[in-house]
Amino acid sequence: MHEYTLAQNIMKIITEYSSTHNGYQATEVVIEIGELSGVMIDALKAAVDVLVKNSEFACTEFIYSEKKAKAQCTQCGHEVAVSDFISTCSQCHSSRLDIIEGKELCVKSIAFE
Amino acid sequence: MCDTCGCQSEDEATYKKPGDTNHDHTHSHPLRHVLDVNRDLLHDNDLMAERNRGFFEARKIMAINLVSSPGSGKTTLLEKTISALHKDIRFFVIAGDQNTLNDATRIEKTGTEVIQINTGTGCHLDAEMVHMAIRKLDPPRNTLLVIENVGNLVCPALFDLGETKRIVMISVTEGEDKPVKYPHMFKSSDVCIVNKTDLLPHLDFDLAQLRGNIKKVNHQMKVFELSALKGEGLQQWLKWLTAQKTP
Repeated sequence: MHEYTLAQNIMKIITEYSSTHNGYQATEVVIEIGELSGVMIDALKAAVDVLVKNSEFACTEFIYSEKKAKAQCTQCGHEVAVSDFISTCSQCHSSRLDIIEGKELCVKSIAFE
Repeated sequence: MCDTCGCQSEDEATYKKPGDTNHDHTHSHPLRHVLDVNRDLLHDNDLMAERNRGFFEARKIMAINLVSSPGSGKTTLLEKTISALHKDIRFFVIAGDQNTLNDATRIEKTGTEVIQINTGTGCHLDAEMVHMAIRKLDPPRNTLLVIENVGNLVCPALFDLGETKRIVMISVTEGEDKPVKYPHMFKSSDVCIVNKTDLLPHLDFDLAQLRGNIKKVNHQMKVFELSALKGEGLQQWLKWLTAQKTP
């Protein structure tokens, strides 16, 4: 359900940027979501769809880009691709991994035309 | 003034030589331009959380964000903790629930100042709500503030409140696999309290498996196993909390 709050924040951000681009329309918004950010893309999409309907962004295209997660082993320093919080290091098999990428949750870019 | 690039705005100085045209550059703005925004969706919440954190640090307040599923025993643990330590530590409590003043009423009976936040349909507390609550509560220096979050192991994981420590609670009636089922909450917490251990003889519950699952998700997690109701294991928790509070 937190996806609705996040969708409201997306609206806030694009409204703020649009206000400084008079005469231009935000046509494309890229939203980056880390694989381990804790956000369900479909739920976020559904919430954004509800909010943009009948708004000035009704014709804006929203692109949801998922960022893969990466962790670093605290034991051997090896960087490893992970898809959950319970993975182990592929080199030394330690479970002591620190997530270094994949928790992103941001409006990456806005295209104006 | 040009609406697109903002040149020649009224409050700015302009520099011209005789013969210069009005605009010193052409206005062939591109039809399409892409702006790198890179703005975090939780930016506003995180800013407010840092503001709360600054307030807590300035007043030497230890702030705990207590999270769990509904019914794991957060309020009971709070009641027992406050009655055991109230002579040494002054407590303040912010209780979060969708509805009712039930938790605040229970805490108030311990003689502790408490504010209930009712989130309505909201599933979590955010930093702004906590900010408003601490303005009302105004906890003085060297006190301990417990923020009892809305019972939910999903949404509150994402919202930093400015807390000093995040403590996740789980009761042994909930299943050994809860940490791996709700990894975001367990990954983002500093301490895990396993409650209702007095019920273990009546349950088919594997405590060793739970410990393993907690460490799998968060290898740095400090774990306390206790029964808030019956008091077993409570001493270690109280000792740890007192040590945290005393510099």
